[in-house]
Amino acid sequence: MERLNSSSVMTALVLALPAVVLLYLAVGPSLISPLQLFAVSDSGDFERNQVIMTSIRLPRAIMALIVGASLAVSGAVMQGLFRNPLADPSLIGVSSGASAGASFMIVFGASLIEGNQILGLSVVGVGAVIGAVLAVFLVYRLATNRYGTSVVTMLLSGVAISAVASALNNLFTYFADSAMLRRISVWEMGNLEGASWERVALMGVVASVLLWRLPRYRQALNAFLLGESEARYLGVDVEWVKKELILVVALAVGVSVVVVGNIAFVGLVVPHILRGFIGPDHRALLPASALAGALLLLFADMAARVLIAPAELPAGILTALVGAPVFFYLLIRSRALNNPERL
Amino acid sequence: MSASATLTLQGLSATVSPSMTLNDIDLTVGAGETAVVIGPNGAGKTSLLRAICNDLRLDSGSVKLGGREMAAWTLQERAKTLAILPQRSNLEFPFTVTEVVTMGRIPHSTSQRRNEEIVEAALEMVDCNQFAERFYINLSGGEKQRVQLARVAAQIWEDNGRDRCLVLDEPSASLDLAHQAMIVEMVQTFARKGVAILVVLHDLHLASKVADKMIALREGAVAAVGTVESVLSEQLLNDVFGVKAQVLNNDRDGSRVIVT
Repeated sequence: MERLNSSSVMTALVLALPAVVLLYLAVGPSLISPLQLFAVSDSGDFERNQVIMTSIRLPRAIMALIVGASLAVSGAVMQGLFRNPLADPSLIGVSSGASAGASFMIVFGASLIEGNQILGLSVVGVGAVIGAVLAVFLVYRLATNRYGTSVVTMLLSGVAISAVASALNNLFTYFADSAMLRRISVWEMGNLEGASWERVALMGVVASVLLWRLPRYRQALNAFLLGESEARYLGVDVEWVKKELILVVALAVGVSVVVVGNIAFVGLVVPHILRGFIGPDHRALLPASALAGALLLLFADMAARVLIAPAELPAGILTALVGAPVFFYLLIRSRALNNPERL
Repeated sequence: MSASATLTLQGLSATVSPSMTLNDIDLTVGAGETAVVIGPNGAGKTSLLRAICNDLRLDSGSVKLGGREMAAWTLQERAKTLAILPQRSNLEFPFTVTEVVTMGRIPHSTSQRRNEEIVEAALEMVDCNQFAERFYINLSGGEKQRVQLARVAAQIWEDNGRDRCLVLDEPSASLDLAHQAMIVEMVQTFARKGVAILVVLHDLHLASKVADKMIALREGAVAAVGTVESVLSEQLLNDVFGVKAQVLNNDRDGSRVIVT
């Protein structure tokens, strides 16, 4: 595949972002000019629109931006760390652990701690955090011995722990009544509907940690692609890098699952597609993934809000429905163009 | 250049696996010196390199780089002094050849322009500049090998007053005749610049061309060490490789030719 100039791709993404944000703010069950955010007037209609804007659409747009960016960047990091272009943040068990934790709380917890909220999160959210942390910790422990962490073992234990988590999830679902079942399935689909400023703030803090820690590992991730020994010979403290990257990715993905549920395919597809256009160099790939991930989720959520208006689709369904075919198309195209004997 | 040898192994012993140990290996490689490790498959050549690079825990003995214990180096500092070419690398991501070689500059904080110059010169050295912009994954085995050579060359390209050491594990394995000669030239060039070189070679003729010192391994222990003449004898080939072979002297360059 012909490469595109990475700085022009980046420029295009940066320019597209504010345009899409404005479009996102305008579009919905009622069409509102985003400029109203800054205007002053006292008509009733206007006030209603301003409330829609500042307490519904704006936090939701920001949530889509930071969750999309975090997921895409996490995917790029995982693919680099596992040296596998098909790796995905969910590989380390975050998503399935969070789902099991959430289901547990929906079925058994909610009745015990009725109405309790922590940081704008329900007890369900807290259950998801605990589930995600437990799963990642187990996966990491299983893959680590005194010689270090093996990414291959980690991949395998990720699969195993995910299987255990989804079995538990099924077990909890088995005990659920039909109202609980609906909550569980809606929760698992991934939905930005409940975006509030508190949740945006929580996700914002986590995303900042991710985006602040990552730039220093851009070259380390490049070296990783050569192999772990090679990276060490190039001066990369391999064990430390693995530990820190797993930690920040688990944190970012875990919290994103808590605030919006499982958003499928963004972490897998975005870095994969970008690599085809601008190459695998993480110095360009990480920022471009952040931008493209933000854009993708923004688009997906915009479509989710208007396609069957006034009702809504969960955005997670759309990212998977659109992401998967695009992904297949690119795979087949790159196989046809580039190296027919591979794959 | 420091007074002590660039690379010093003293009584190095390590357990590789239950059936494979390295026993009491001594070796020094000075600045500008080329030491060649030979030995049959499974003799412990690659394990020895891993032990030197601190990838393998030592049971006893020590490895010193530039007079300092290998384990005492920070990885970052070590990477500016010691470049290592593993036997094989599997890079599955679509980097261009230039990008792969540029990774050799990761440990250094030289300017981008300087890095570009070095990468170009390194590609020239291994005869790869004609496909500098092609994708690494689409190259043949020998071409990939040369690109990786250029990468480690770029890593220790500059003489910045510190010791420099180059460790190569079977660099000639998949190279054609012309590019085997290129390896010889490359090793000699770096040696002239004062780089200490430790290289594992299977081709004993090539080995005799570049070696100032030869070390023959058998079952994880040193079977012989010394000059090419003293090590590359018919007796040793029989003892170490179990092969009845004739060692012929090539009068043109003093190298040895092994005839079986």
